[in-house]
Amino acid sequence: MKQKERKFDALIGHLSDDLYRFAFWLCKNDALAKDLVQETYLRAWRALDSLKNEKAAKSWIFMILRREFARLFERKVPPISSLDDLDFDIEDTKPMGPDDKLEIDIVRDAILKLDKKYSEPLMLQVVGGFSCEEIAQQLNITKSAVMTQLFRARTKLQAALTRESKIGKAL
Amino acid sequence: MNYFEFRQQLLRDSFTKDEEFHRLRKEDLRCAQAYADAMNFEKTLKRAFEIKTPDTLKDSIVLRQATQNTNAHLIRRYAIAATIFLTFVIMSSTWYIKQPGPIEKFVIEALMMEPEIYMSDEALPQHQIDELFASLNTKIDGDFGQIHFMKTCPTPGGTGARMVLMTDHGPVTLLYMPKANLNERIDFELEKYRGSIVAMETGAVAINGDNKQQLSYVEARLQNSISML
Repeated sequence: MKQKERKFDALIGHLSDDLYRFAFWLCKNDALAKDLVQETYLRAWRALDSLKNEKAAKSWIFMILRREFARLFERKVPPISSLDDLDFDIEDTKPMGPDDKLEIDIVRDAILKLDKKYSEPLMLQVVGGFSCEEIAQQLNITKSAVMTQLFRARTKLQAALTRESKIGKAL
Repeated sequence: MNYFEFRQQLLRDSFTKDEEFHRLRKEDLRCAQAYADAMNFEKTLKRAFEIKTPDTLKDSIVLRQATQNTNAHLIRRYAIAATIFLTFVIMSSTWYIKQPGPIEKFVIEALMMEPEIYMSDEALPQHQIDELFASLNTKIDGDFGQIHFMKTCPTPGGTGARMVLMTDHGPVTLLYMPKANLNERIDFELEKYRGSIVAMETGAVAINGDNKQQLSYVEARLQNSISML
């Protein structure tokens, strides 16, 4: 048991923050995200023996989280399409100035408006740090499809940032 | 790769290792500018995703993980049953009390809010238990028994602790409230389960188990073991 715990901690114990962030942006809700991460670790604990390639542990646990989300949590996600719909303020890891905060809030708002097919590969890339090949494997789509979705996701976010910044300056 | 393709690549994956991409980034002024703009955007994007994770996240994962083996699962089911039962028992008892006191109220609410007890399949090390009791300005003497779960929690008047103690007759759920003032002992009994809220040298403790012998044993141990620092 101790050996299993050590292996578990070494392979995926350090990923809880990244998993929580990924879960949060999937669920758009803090409580659901926490439950999803706990459930993911439980599943991973039970299935640890099935992990054959330890180098793929990160992909493996993100895959578990995505499956658990689809299995148990997706239908519970509240209908949120902007920051105003959230019933709490997102807490940042570091303090920031008002200009930075404005930009970041615009991007967050745009992320919440993104279709899942664009937001998910983007989250896997930015939060998970996965390459396009790894994202393609995770999502079971081609690498070129991933690149197209990432391109469109960033284009939409940049457009929102440009548009909202102009409105902000005009005001 | 031309400028247009370079910009497309920036929007797909600006951290690519493609040599041609990096050559243009260094040699072409327009590409260099586009790259700098993209890096600024990537910084904003990264910070947008970087939200603070809950302080209790890691603890809750560890606790959930600790429940995962067959024996622990079985024990946990008993513990859950015992905890839920304690809730019902206390609720039943308070039914007869026209105005339940703050301690009874607290115990009911606390257990209703968190009916599931997480347990490790191994007893907690003594030093960890000592530290937890010390944080409550109390100490524990002698052989108290095998504590498989202990966590501090808010209780009337200050911080207390929720515990699961393993005995030869099964798990016993305890809610220790070091700052609570209990005027008189409250005993409950329903079917084969029994529960009590008893006054201690410091505060009070709610005890629940399914066996009279087990409860008496635990109560005696508690009275003899817990004292103020």
